[in-house]
Amino acid sequence: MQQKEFLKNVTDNRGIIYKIINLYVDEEEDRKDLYQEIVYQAWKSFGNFKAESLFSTWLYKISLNVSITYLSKHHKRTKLKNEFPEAPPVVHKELSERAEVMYRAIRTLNETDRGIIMLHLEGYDNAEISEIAGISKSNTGVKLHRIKQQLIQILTQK
Amino acid sequence: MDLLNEWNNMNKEVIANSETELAGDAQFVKAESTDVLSLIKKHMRAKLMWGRVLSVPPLIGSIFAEAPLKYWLLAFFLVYELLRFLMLRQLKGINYEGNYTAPVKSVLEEQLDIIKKTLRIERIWGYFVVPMAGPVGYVIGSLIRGKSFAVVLESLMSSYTLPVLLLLGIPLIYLAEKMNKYAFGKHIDKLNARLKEIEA
Repeated sequence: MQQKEFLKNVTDNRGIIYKIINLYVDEEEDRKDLYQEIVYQAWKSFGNFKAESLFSTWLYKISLNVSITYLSKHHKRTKLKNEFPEAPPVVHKELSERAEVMYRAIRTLNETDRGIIMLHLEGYDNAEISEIAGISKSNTGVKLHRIKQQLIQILTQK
Repeated sequence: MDLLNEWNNMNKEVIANSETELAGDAQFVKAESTDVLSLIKKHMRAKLMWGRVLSVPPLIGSIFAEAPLKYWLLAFFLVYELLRFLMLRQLKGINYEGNYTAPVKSVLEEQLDIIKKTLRIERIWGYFVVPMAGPVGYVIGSLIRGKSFAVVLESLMSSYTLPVLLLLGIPLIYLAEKMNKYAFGKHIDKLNARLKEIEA
């Protein structure tokens, strides 16, 4: 019963996992491994999930934590690819040019900043982001301002 | 530049792509984690298993050997098992489950703390076990070759044999440290880097 409920929730919210995976890994093998690791950790913690909170917020938190602590098996290659804009462009499978530009811009950010901007763009306010990240509200505001400036600068240069 | 618009456009494509790439695995929950905490737990289990592999042959030998070799082998087994037990007891006090529902900063700190604590426990017990192996091995080896216990003990104490055997432990400890660095260095570096990023 609990497993059914969990799988339904995960299926309904799997876009969250896809978005986060996309921000952190490139290789297909890593994407699958990270996806399964997120689902595994979510399932392990599902017993402690409190119905009064949103499943989506809970899943964002787990997905972010797993992704930020995940060590790619293709770490060296991933690192090289991150040296944007000097490195050759990452051509993401089947993304349009416009989406690819956005994707590459976000991937220039450090891993924690990627998570913070994602939460912001997904509609979380500073208080919620600071709670998920474990940093102060004022620091969240400062970080967000800096990240947005950085992103806009990269995107308008293109 | 409308960041939100660009973000939503990108994600529409990302989700559509991921559906075809990952949807087959959507219902699949893997049997065990491959995170760093599971990795270090497995690593310690393997080390403890090797401790057992090394301590059982002397026990078997003690059944067939005659005194004083019998007692040396038995003592070797008991000391190694005692150290193994004490190390295991300390490791059991560590929770390797990891709480991924905590704030990101706490998760990073928790994982770093667990890795460092585990490697510290291993190092401390390594300082006891590794240097002891040389002299004990020397005594047992000499006794097996038929030398009397008094002669073996005298040769061990009266020459440079004991310090040399004890010193042999140093490269072994160094090697173990190198192996741990190889296995967990990247994880520690990554967690430290993420922690610095989030605190910046």
